[in-house]
Amino acid sequence: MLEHAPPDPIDPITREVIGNALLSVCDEMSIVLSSTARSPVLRESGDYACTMHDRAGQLIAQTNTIPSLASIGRHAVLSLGKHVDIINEAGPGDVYFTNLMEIGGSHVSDVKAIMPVFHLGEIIAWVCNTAHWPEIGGAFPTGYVCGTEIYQEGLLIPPVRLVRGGRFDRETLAFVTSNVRAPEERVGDIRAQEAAVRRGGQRIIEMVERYGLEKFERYCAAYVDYTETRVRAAIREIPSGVYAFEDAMDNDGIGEERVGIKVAVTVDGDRMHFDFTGSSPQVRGPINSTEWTVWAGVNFAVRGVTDPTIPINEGCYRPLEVIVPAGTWLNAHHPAPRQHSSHETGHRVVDVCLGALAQAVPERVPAAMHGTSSIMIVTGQDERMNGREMYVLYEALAGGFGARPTKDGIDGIRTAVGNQNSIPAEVMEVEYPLVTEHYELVTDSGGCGRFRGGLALRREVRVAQPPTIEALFVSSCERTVTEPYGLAGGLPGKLGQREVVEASGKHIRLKGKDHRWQRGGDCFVATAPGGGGWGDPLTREPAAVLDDVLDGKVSLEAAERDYGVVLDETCKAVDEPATQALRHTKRGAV
Amino acid sequence: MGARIRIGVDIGGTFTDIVAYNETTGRHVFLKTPSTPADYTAGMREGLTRLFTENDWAPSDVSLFFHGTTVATNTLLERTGARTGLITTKGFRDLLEIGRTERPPHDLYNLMMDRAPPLVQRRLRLTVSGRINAAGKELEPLDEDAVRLAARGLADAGMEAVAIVFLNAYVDPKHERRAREIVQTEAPELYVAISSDVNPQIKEYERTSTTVLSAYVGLKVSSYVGEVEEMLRSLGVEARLHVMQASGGAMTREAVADNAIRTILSGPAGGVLGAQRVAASVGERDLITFDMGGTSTDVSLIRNGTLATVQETREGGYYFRVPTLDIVTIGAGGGSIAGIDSGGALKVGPRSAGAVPGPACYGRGEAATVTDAHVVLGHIDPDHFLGGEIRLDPDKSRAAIELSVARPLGMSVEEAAAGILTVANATMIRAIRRVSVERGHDARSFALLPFGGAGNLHGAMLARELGIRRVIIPVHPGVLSACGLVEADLEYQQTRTILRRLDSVDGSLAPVFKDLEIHCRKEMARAGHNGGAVRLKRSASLRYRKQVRDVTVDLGEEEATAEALRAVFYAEHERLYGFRTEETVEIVDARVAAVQPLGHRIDWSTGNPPASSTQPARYRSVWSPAVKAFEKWPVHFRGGLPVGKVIEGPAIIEQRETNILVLPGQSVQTEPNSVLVIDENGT
Repeated sequence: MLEHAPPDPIDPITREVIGNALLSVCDEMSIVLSSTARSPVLRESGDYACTMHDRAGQLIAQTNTIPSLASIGRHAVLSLGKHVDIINEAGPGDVYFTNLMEIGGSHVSDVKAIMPVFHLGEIIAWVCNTAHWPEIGGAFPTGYVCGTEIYQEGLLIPPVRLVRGGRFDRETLAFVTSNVRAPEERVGDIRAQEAAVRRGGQRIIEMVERYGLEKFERYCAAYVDYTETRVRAAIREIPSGVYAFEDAMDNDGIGEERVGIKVAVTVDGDRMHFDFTGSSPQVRGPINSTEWTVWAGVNFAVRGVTDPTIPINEGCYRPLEVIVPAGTWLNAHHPAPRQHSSHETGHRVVDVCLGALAQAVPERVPAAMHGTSSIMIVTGQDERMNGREMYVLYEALAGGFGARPTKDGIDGIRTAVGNQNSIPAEVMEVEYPLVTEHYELVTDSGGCGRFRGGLALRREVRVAQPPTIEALFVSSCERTVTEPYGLAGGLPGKLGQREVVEASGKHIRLKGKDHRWQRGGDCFVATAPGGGGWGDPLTREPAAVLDDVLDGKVSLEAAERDYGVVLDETCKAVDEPATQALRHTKRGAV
Repeated sequence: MGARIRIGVDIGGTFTDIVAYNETTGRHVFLKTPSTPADYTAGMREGLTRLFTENDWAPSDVSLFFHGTTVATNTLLERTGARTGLITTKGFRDLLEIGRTERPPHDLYNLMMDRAPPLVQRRLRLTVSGRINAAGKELEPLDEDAVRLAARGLADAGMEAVAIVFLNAYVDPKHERRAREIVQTEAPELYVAISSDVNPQIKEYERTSTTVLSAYVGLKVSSYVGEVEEMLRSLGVEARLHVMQASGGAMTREAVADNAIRTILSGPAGGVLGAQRVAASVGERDLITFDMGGTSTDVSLIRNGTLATVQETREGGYYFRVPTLDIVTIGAGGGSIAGIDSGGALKVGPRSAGAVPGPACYGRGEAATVTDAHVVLGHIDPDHFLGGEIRLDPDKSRAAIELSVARPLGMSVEEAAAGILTVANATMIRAIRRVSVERGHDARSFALLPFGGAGNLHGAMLARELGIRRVIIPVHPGVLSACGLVEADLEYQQTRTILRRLDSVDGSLAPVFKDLEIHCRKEMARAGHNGGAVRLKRSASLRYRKQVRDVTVDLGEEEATAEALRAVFYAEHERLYGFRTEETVEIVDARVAAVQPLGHRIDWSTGNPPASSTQPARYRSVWSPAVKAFEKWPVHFRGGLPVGKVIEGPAIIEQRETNILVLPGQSVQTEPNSVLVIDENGT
């Protein structure tokens, strides 16, 4: 029998040191990407994520940015790493770009840059970043087309090396830039994505040189194992059982019918099982999803109810099993359209998973978040610029955080799988021919409850150009028909809404997922949904209702109607006896 | 004629440090006195009286007076600022509360997260019509009646201060200035801050938050500074009072009223400035400073003698845009608690045992801390801690580490203690990387300058980990902040947004900078500087058109031309991000800093003996992680080290306020000005 020297046992101290260094690598990639990218989405909104993977593509470390994108990076590298021909052809300094659905795709706008990291001629790791390109060709700018095939939404990019051996490949780059509007901005983003993975690869090699390859890889694996141990310990604290929940999307973007989503969450000791069987079949419109998007939502919900301080890597996913039957809208067959799916589906997956888990750990789960990225886009040609430059405003309008079992939801905040910043009105005025006329919280938009759901925002953006110039208004917003649910007797948050107010004063109602060609002088009015309420509104502290009324967050009428709180004639104090009487009557009426 | 005394007073939560430097004799003295949070001037008066008596100085001998205060920071963190209202553009009532609507990274998955409550409640945020566009064109006149009504309303509601922020006021301040006039007429008792004065830069939320904060802390800070001044006058001190800013420069008492916000986060500035002066005295211009206290560690970078600054920051969840030293703070210090998490990993911090109960060896608590690890490994002599003031119990350290780390991990107490230091160092290395590598600087080409109580026990270890070849130990590592104060320059800086293509601004660039320069000189004059030579330092932030973040381009005293800016930008961009292109470059902000030195540099030497023999005072058993055994390390007293004599590591250098570790393979020597320099041996 051959005798092998057993490898040194894992030293928990070295593991901690290497874990810290891996996070530094991802931080540094994020800084390079977020600092140098061009598209406004990346620039002001931080719609990007950086990940680092082992040679088999397993996720080792990632940054804390957009939860949905980071989860997608994991699947992209895992799938790419399985392509034998890619492994065979790739060389040092090559960077692949892709947005294919089967390679961890979500929708065509999310483009990954993936770089194999070479050491002594072999691939020893991968680094990846995912960035949202606001323009990627397709039937009209931004790709948010309500079509019936993915081809209408934008350019499909199979894994191609836009960078070979550290140099940009002129031919493939030209192929991409010839198929997108605003090619200069895309080249800027491509450069930023490339610079970020290059920096990451460089840092990994430095670590390998310091620790030796064998030790580096062994400790990467140990870091993942350690994470898995923590996740399992956290899952064990959730009572075992089966918890089911269902909800729906407003529609598929073409028809009017709701699209159902169902989950059964099984908690079994230190494992969790999410089964989406029973969700609606694949639909015609662009709400169809990929299973990677579902994974992103599941991951968010699990972290939310366990321990958000656990590092994010493969160890978080190992205790999870996720069943997303092929042929449902959540895991649709090619060439299903998917543009509105990425964020919108991610939000709804979070809603149903948390709704189910609220039965297991009610004290840890808020009522529904506003449940959408509530995107408003205005695009057209900016005639102020020489040669009329194209512009794309891409704003994710914040809504309300769901009310919690011990406190109110937060007003005007991005929630769940999205986290883009809002774009300042002043930046908008300089860089686009657009003027924000109104940007405030919406009174009464939070779901009523013992604890109130967060209020939504409304934003009105006018095209400051002559009426001869066209502008395209695009909306990707959910919860305009199905309400964000309340919990424990709390009421739902208010619905989102989209409207055009033309220069003439004429109002035109848009659907949540919609687009419409307008003209200079017209105004796009977007309202996000509010968060759901928690607990019976009639048990809310009257003083808290008074505070909300004084702040204009709740109207006098709603205070009486929904909370049973009556103010005295000064409107600055609660009329206690009248409130008691009114609440008594309302309770009796139920 | 009497002596000329420069005095610096640095008030911390527990102690007030006073340093006095006699310009006539070159001597300096320190004094520590308990802080008196109920009325800080009381403790200060007490300390100063003692200082004058003990040294036989007359208060009128004081020539320059410097003060570092945390009043602004505490006002914000404790939310004890002025009752503040906001008057803003119609349709934008909620910016202050919603910010940019994103969640901070550490709360991304936290379903129970909270947002810091807005400093102005919604009912006190009033809006008025009036709109100027980004090109400076008035689209709608200011509704003056509405402003009048708002002013009266806020005054009636008991407000003490009001912030006025209108959209695009960074382009044209006309509406804001008119609104201020109206408020001052209508409610003259209100303290008013307008955004075009406080922070004339683009992005409405950022400007709103900065202006509100300025109004919120303004009254409190200026009245505090007034009390300090009154106390000084009553003592007979006639020297002008200077207050430290977060940027590392000082301002006069007169400038504080309008710039109170610039004192937020000025706490660590004295130390970093002190570090820069110390390093310069031994010829180092590139260094990383490392201030390790009981619960946290502050890391900052100095390049080419210039303190790294950032233009925006957050504290306690509140955003503000003022020049602040670029300091990364991490929750690891001497009191940080070590333990094992649910996955079996050794973690150090961010929980801290603080001063009470303190590390286990203090005998009041059971928590195993970084300090306990040093005690177990022999780095700290239990009988000579803080000059023997506190007697430490090493058995308590061993027991604590045994229980919470060694046993769960199945290792010896010494290995566990060494592990605690390794993990604490890993956290600090991540912070050091953040200010260096992540900002495009190679840490290895910098020197490390540790200070604060525990810093010198880690400096040599961290330097070796990072490949840093030189560690500089100031003469007084424990009071470096106070030392920095008395060497501060007077400074005023102002930033203005331009946001145009660089190739289209060449003609208008000079006037913008000229304006800023005139403004800075005017502010310096208004603040009563004493007519000495003012140096103007120009900088700008640039980016490739539509790029995410801009790059700060420092021109020093050079004239700002488009070519000069472009050339430096290209080089900086490549250094930071690894590439440059020939695309259009935009200038975002222009910035001018006026700087005036207030006094000559100070030699802090303590008069070390001339070259003589260097026998160790004694030997101590110190754990060697390499051989997993205790070894005898020589211990020297710092005051007895002769100038210029090289001592080979390993060694421990003891001084009253700190212990300095020198590793095998390193050597240490004392400079003529008593600064210690540790060098890595070999090439």
